[in-house]
Amino acid sequence: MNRSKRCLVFFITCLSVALLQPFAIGAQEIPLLKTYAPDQNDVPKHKKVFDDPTPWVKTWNDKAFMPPEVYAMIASDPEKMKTLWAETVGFKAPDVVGKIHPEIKPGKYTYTDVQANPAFKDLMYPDLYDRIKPGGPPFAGNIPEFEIIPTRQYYWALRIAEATKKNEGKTKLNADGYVDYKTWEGGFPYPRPSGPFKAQQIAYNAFVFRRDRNEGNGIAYGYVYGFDKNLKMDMDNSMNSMSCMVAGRQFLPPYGFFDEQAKANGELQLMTLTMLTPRDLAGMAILTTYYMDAQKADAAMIYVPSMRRIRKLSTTDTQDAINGQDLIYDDQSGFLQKLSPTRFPYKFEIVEEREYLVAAPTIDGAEYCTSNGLEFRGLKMERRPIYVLKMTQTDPNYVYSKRIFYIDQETFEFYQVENYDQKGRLYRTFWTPYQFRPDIGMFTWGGYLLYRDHVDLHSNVNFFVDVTGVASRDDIVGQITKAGK
Amino acid sequence: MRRKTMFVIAVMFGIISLLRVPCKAEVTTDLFGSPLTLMGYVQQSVGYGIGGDHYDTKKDLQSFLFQSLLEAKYAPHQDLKFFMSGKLNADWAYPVFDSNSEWQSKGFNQGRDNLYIFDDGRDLLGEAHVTWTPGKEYFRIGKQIVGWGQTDGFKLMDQINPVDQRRGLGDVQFESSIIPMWLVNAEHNTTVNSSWLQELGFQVVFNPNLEFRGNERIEPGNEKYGIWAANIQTPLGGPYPFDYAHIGSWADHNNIPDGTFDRNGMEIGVRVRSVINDAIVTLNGFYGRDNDIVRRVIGPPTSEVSPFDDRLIFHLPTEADYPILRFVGTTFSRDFPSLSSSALGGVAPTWRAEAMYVGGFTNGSSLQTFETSDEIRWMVGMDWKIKIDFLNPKAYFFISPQFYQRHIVDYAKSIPDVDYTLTDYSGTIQQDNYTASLLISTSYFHNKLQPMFFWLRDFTGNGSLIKTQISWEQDYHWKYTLGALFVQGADPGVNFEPLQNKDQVYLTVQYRF
Repeated sequence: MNRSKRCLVFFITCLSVALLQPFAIGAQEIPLLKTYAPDQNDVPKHKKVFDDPTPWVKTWNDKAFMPPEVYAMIASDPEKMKTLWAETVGFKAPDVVGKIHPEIKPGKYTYTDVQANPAFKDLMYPDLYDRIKPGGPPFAGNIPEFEIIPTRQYYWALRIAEATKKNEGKTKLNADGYVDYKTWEGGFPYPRPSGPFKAQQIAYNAFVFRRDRNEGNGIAYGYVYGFDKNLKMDMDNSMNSMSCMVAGRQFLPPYGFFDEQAKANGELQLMTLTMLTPRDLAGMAILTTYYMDAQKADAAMIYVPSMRRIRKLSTTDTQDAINGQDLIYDDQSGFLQKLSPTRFPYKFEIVEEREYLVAAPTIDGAEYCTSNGLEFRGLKMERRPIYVLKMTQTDPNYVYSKRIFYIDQETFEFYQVENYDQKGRLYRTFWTPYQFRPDIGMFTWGGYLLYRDHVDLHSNVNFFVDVTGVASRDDIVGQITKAGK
Repeated sequence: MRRKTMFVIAVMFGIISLLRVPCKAEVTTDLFGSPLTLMGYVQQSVGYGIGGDHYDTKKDLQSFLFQSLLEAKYAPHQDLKFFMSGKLNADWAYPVFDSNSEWQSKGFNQGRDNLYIFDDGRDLLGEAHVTWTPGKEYFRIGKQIVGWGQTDGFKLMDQINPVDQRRGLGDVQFESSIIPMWLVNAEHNTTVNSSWLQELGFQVVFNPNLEFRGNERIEPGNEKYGIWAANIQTPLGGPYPFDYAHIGSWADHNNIPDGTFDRNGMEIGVRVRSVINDAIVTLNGFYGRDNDIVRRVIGPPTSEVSPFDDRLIFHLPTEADYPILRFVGTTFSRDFPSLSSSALGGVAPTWRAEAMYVGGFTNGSSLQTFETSDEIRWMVGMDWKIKIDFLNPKAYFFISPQFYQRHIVDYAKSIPDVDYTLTDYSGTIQQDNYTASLLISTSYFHNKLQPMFFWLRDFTGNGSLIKTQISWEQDYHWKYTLGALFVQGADPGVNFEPLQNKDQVYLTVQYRF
């Protein structure tokens, strides 16, 4: 047998052995996301990122995208969801606010009203108060006018609320306040944070076991625009991220673990981030497997379009700015760092529990950003009960010395993150008002986000559209090369 | 020639008209209800020779390289995509210096037809393929690039597409340095329900030899390879101008497959790709033609006299072949979080390795024979980021060292009791050949200022290449690059030595859309 024949035999043997492996993903219980998700190129037809006050969510939402049988799985009676969630967390937001400067009533206000009335300075957290002014350098995202609306009662999807209530008390913390992830079964683990580790419990609710963005299921279409200190656009970046929560699933079937592999490996979520523009990044895609165990490093690989290759990425490379954006990998989704007792651990403190006036989650998507001055207009604000969580970094080698989060006490959604560098300067901020979907009890990113770099005087205006749905493992993994050249 | 110039100008105007679309990172239009996306770049470089006044280079201004690329992507269905790219590559130095006496005396003007504009259809058309991705399958047919292996900067297992070095080693874009081939690429990828095996994929790549093409290397012969021609000398032992002669372009008597489905040029590659415990592991096999030509001299040279220095230029008649390349190999890459140190920024290094066994590979020899022997080629590399606050408090340094060994199993043993060496396109090769590289980069000012340093060392051939550059990325459209290339070689005629007069400073302006 000559060499080439030996090679052929070798590879046929390899193929045969591999084909005998048991393949994953059996029959899906519901139509997969890819069968109905709209095309990203449709987004500008419904909402332009700049100067467009169209209330796009009214007509372009999950109900319009989804097959009726899928929508029926996630939609519930809002009153039923309200009641259950109030029972779960023990209060309704409208009942606990209005104590600070009650003279500030619902209505329309301009920046001059705010500057003329010191009560606003007390009612807003400092960075938001500083943004209430006409647009202009050095940052995008100022708010010259807004409307205060009565405080709403927010709630989570029925199945998430049921799981949260049912599993309350089951998720254990160790002696240092770090979670034993094997004891978490779904929902928010700590709906009524309390005790010596109250701050950690809030952090786990808000970061690790967050339920927003369709409980991590679906595809997000994103647009990130960068602006220098003169508000000249220097970045035009479009992308999408397809993700699948593979543990603690309550929102969409399959419930619990997505499959045996997720259970065996302690996986939390799979996500593929694909860059569509600019040209230098187009086709680049990063596939990340997030693990629940804080001691186990996540896994990631990247498709590099210029090389036409998939390369392994180090998931510990989390402190460099992402493609020149005003956030690092650990800042993704506001906070995507592992809460680890050994790798860049934090000291957790609740520094305040009080009401603040914050940007209200959008319901109809009518808010917009002006191209002239990059102002946010059409914003609504409401009083919310807020935890101010301070996380002080104990390792001086980390990029930030501390992070401060403004977290909603009723929903565990955070509106603002302030990150300070090791010199104590405010370095980067992350602001998101969210989109709330009353028919399904879900918060998403459908709308605007703002990142600011206060040291380099740079800003990112972001616009996202979230589409709910189930992606298979193969869909997520296959996405890494799908947009490639 | 005027028609060529008019053609380039017309293309430039066409691209500039596209650029009039403001504030977009790409151009998207609707075609039959589906998006057609256009992207690309236009780039103009100026090369300034700092290697002195030599036979194989021009001092001062020496190149005005224009590179442009227009990519069109059309996706009528989420599982179906058409992609096509067109390239235009020109060096204005050839018409600009056409009547320059230094340029003429060195014979560069004779390369104008080949090197001014790459206007051959196969150069103008970059990639052209259709991709169908139904579920777990991936089919791509057409002119395309398939990347294998784990090595950057030089190639081990990445043998499917030839490289194009006709524009040298300066600021050449990826699309100008790789040659897409007409291929059929079929893959089946799936996730696996196993605690240790996470993904499994099979790939078959078939080259039907629709058009045979090998590497476009830097070779001797100013009249053919122009300003980037290699400078190889052969000693004559006499007084000037008979101290040595220049080696001119080869007079190849090729044994090259025809293309157009000639079976001798067909190639097949098979790969099994897996993710095992978060490591990417592949098994690769390939049968086809090597992309590099192997030669042996078969007769006395023809000669001419160089107007530059009155020395002889020898054109050696050679028998040339693209030898059969068959190999099996494996690649591995994984990050090792336990190797991270918070004091250095906390990033764990990612290790890359590839190894291949090449069966019965043909090289040339100093006896002007062809020799067949097995080879083992392997490399290991690392991608690492570290934080050095006093040099850059806001961004990490990317550090990527690589080490490569090429071992020839039965080295120069075909003719007993005779001491001789083997040769390939780069000159003499030893039984063990060692190469290393180092890439360091970082960024400042919010990713706008991007310095980069690259060092490639051929330990066996005693040569080095250093490329260092700094780019200013003003925004997503404009990018400016200032760089320098230094080449050094000690062993005459081997690897980098024939290029050691190519030291160059370059300045590039690039517009992307």
